[in-house]
Amino acid sequence: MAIASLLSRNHDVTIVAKNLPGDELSREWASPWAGAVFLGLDGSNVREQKMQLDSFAVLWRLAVSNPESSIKRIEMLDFHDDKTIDEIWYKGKMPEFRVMRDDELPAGVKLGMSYKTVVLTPKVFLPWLRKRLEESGVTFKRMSLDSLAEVKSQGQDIVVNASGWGSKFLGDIKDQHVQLVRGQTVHVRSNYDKIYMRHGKDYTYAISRLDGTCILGGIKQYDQTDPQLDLGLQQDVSIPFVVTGLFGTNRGADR
Amino acid sequence: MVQIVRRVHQDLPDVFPAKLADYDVVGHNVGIRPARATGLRVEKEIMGEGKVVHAYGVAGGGYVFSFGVARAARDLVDEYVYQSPLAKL
Repeated sequence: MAIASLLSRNHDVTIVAKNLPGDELSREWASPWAGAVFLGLDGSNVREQKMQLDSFAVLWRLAVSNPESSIKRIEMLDFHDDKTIDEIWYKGKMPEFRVMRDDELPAGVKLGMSYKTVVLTPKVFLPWLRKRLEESGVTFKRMSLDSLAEVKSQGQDIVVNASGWGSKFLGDIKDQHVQLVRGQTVHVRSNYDKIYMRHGKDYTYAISRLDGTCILGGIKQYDQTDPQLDLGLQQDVSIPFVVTGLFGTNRGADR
Repeated sequence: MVQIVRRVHQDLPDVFPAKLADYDVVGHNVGIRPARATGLRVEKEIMGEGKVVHAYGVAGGGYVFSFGVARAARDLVDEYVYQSPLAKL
């Protein structure tokens, strides 16, 4: 939808997907289940860093221009057990960025940074963005695809493949590099009003949504031997084949 | 869950209780993140007759990358659209 929001200024855009924003929550796409917060990602190359900062700039503005989107500015406490400031690519690039003093750090933490970032509530944000796109002429079409070529029948000039892990299964893509990585969090009531992130042996976080609730995490992504991963949620793990977020674009002038 | 609660309590004991039973739980979230071992893929590809722009593999960075990937993908779409015939050779 973010892609459509930029393309719709100059192109006719149709979003094709099995699951659409506003549906009953489905485990078949990740977006409704996210934290969701902006945090510069470790290990990003220069191009990826730029894309992240571009994204942040938009979200940061929307927090003020469109509060109904659920996007809010918030204080981040970003801790690392085994990193130095020189390894942090986004140092100095976030608003009100500062390195914390040793006496502000939890036990075992080597580096602490404090800065402003953004948090949003997916179940508000996703339908909000959909509505905004529809108002600007974007069409949403529910469709399941077995291959990218199938969207040709819709008459598009260009297809943007934003299918996420659908790219593992689409017949004409079958990208074997795509992995399905499971994440698990618990959503609780709490008046905590910051974001606490700690990277190290474990990945621990508390993300305030600034609405009286917090998202607590996280489960180590690739640790499949941890019995705590399952606790009553095992039935949600098996995911059927799905294609999400495909859309094409028609060039208006060509029609 | 028990493990998550134990860790947030350990780090923020004044804010979060030690036992899951002491929380007012709104829900449990399980998301399947679409990762890509070789990193994000944002590029053009001609597939048969079709002009494609790929934009996937953001892993846990869906919102982190959202509008930035969008900008890159938009630029790639525009390269197709506004490319002069000569440049195609």
